[in-house]
Amino acid sequence: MVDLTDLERDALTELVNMGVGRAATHLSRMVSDQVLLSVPSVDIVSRTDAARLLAARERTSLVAVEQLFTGSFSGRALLIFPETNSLELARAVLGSELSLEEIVDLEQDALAEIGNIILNGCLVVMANTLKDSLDISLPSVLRGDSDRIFANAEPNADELVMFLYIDFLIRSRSIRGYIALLMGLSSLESLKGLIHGFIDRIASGTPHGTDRR
Amino acid sequence: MEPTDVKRLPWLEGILESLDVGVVVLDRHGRVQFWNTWIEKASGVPSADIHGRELVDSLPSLRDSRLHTAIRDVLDTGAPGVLSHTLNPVLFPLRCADGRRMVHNVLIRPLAVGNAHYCVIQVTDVTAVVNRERVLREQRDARYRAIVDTAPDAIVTTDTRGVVQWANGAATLQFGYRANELIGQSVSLFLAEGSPDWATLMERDSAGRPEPVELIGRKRDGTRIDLEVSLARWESEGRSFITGVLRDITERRRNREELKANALAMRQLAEQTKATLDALPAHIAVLDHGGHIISVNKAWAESGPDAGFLGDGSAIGDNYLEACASTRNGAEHADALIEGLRGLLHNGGQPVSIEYPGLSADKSAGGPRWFRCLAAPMAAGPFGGAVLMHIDVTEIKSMEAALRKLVGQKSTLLREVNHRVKNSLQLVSSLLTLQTMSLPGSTERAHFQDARARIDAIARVHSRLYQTEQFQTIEFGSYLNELCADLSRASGGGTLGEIEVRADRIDLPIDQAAPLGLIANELITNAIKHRGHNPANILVELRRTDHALELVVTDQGPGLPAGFEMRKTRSLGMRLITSLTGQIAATVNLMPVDRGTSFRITLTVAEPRGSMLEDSAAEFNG
Repeated sequence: MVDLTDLERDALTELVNMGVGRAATHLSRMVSDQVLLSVPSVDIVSRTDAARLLAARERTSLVAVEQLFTGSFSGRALLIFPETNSLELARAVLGSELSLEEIVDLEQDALAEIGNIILNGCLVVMANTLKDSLDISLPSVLRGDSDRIFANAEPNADELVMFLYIDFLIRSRSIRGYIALLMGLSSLESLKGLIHGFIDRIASGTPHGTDRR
Repeated sequence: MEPTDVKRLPWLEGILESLDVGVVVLDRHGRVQFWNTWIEKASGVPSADIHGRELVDSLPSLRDSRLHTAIRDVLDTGAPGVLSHTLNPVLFPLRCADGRRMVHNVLIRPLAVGNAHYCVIQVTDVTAVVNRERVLREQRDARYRAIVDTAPDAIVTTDTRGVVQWANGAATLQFGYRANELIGQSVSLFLAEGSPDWATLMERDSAGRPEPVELIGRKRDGTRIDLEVSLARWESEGRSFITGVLRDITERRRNREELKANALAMRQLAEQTKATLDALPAHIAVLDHGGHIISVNKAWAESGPDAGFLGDGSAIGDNYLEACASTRNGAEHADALIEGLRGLLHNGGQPVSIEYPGLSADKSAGGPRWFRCLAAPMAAGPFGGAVLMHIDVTEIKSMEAALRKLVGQKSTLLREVNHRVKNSLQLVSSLLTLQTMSLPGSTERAHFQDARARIDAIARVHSRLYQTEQFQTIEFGSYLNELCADLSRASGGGTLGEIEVRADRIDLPIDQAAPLGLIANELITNAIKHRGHNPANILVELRRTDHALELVVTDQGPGLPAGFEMRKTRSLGMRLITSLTGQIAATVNLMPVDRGTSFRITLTVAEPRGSMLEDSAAEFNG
C-alpha cells in the first residue's frame, strides 16, 4: 500500500481541485449558469476496497465515464455516479423543460461529455503541473455495480485507486459523485515522484500551474 | 520552420475525401491543413478558401466557443474531447443538403506526425438519428400521454429512491402542488409521516402481480387523503424507474367503513332474530320456493321424529312437502297443509292456518296433543319461500274446553234464576188476581188489575231472558208483540179494538228493557182504559233512528183533557212513566195528532257492548 503524507495529500487535492475548477468553468459556460465543483479529499485504497466502499454507500447501480491515460503514470480515470444522481445531473445540465424520456435518451451523451470535461480537467492540470504529458483516450460510459466498474481486463492485485469525492453544485442542486484514478503501483510511485518535484518547485518559489488553457 | 503541410498520399486523401464524416486537420497554430469534401459541402466553405487560415478566423462564430476551447485543449495538452449536440446546440455552422441546420457531434483528437502536433476534428451528422429518435419518442409519448394525462388517478414516476421525476396533471390537482414543485422532491412530500419506504412497497409484491397498497397521503394544505398505491418498476436505457398510480380512495374507504358497520348491524340483527326464534317454543322452519328447509329454529332442530307435528324430524335440506306426504297417520291434515303450502310457494296463495291433532303415538303425557300450523309467504327473503311454524296448542285447547264448560254451567244457573224469578212473579200475579176477585169495589179491582199487569210486564222480561240464550239483552220487538197480545186478551179481546204493533228487531240491555217494558205497559193500558165509547185502535211503534230508539204509542181515543200536564198529574201510571223515563235517561213527548193521543219515548242507546263476549258465549253453547 502506498500512503500519502499530509503534504502529498494536500498537494494532490489542490491539483485535482484546480482541474475540476477548470472543468467547472467549461460547464458553467455550457449550461449558462454557475457550476461549482469541489473535491474535498483524496484517499488511496486498493481496488477491492474501493469497490466495497462504493457498494456499501450506494444501493442503486452505478454509471461511470471512463478515460484511459498513458504516460509516466498510466491507468484509468473514472467519474462515477449512482444512477439516480446521474439522472439528476443530466436533468440539471439539460434543463427541466425536457421530459423524463428525453432526458433518459440524452443522458448517455451528456454524461460522456461532462465526464470528458471533468476528467480532462483533472488529467490535464495534473500533467501540466507535473511537467508531464499524457496520452488520453476518448471517454466511454459504463454501467453496473461497483465490481463491474472497477473490473480490469488484466487482473492486477497491486492496482490501487486514488479515490476522490466530487460535489457538483449546479442550478441549486447538490449532486455527489466520485472520481477514481486506477493505477498500478509503479504508476503511483511515479506520480508521487512528480508530486514531490512539484512541492519542491513551490518551495523553491518557481511559478507553477502555468495556465495555458 | 515547422512543417505545416501534411504530407499527402493520393489514395489516402481519396479515402478521407470519400468518408461520410467531416474531417478537419489543424496544425498546432490552429490553421486548417485539411478540409475534406464532406465538410466543404456541409459548411459551404471550399477547401481552397480556408486552407492555411486559422479556423476561428474563417469561422468567427467559433471563437471562444466550447469547440474552440476543446481544440486548444487538444493542441496544448493532447487531451481528446467529445462534443455532443445534447449539451452543445451549436458547434460548427453546418447545413444539411436540404438546407436544414445539421445536428452533429464532434470528436477532437491529437495527432502527432514526427515532432509535429496536429489536431484531428471528426464531425458526424446525427440529424437523421436525432429526428428519428424524436419522432419515435413523440409517437411513444403520444400513446403514453393519452393514457396518463387523461387518467383520473394521480400518476408519478420516481427513481428508485422515491424522488419524483415526473407527475401527471391529476397528481398536481390531487396533491395541490405544481409539477415543477413535485419533480426532484421525495414522495414523502405528499405521503403522511410514517408511510413505508417507497422502494420497499415494490419489493412486497409477490407472485409477480402488483398488489395495491393502501397509504395515507397529505395534500399541500395538510388535508388527509386515502390512497391506493399500485407501483410498477420499469427500465429505460438500463436505468430503473418506479411508476406509481395513487388513486384517491377517501370516498371508497368511507363507503367501505359504512358498509362494514352496516354488515355488523345486519349480523347483530340476524343474531337477535335467531336468538329470538330459538327462544320460542314453536317449531319454526324457513322453506325455499321448492319447499326445501333452509333453516330451522332450536325447537325444531331439537324435536325428534316423535314430536308429533307434521313433518317432524325433517332437517335442513329436506323437502318439507315430501316429508309431510310420507306421514303415516293424520293424512287428511297433511294433505291440506301440502296443498296450502303449494299455493303459498308457487301461486302467491294466502297464509295457511290449520289446527290438527298431534301425530305422536305416545299419548302417555295425558290426552291427545294439538298443533296449529301457520305458514306465511316470505317474498322479501333471499329464497322467496315461506316461513312455517307448528305451535303446540294442547294447553290452549284444554283451557278453552275448561272455560267453555264453566260458561255452560253459569248459563244454566242464570237461566234457572230467571225462570224462578218469572215463576215467583207469576205466583204474585196469580195471588193478586185471586185477591182482586174478592174485592167489592170496581175501583179497587181496577187498581189490583193494574198492579198485576205491571208485575206481568216484568215477569215477561225474565221469561224472555231464560227462553233465549242471552242474559244481558232481550229482543224488544218480540217482547212488545207478546205484551200487546197479553194486554189485548186481558182487556176482553175484540170488543176493545185493535192493537197494532210495528216493531223493528232491537236488542236492548236488561237495564233498559225492564223499565221500557213497564213504560209501554202503562201507555198501552192507559190507552185501553181511556178509550171512551169507541173501540181503542192503538198503534205501537218501535224503531231505531241513528243513535236513538223511539217507542210511539198512538190511540184514537178522546185525547187528553185540556190543560193536561204530565208532571202535575197525580195518576200513578203517569208518575211511573215520568220516573222510569228519568231512570233510563229517556224523554217523553206528546206528539200532535188530529185525534186521540200520541206519546213518544226517545231513548239513547249505546252501541252494542261486549258483543264479542256474547258471540263467543253463543258459540260455546252451540
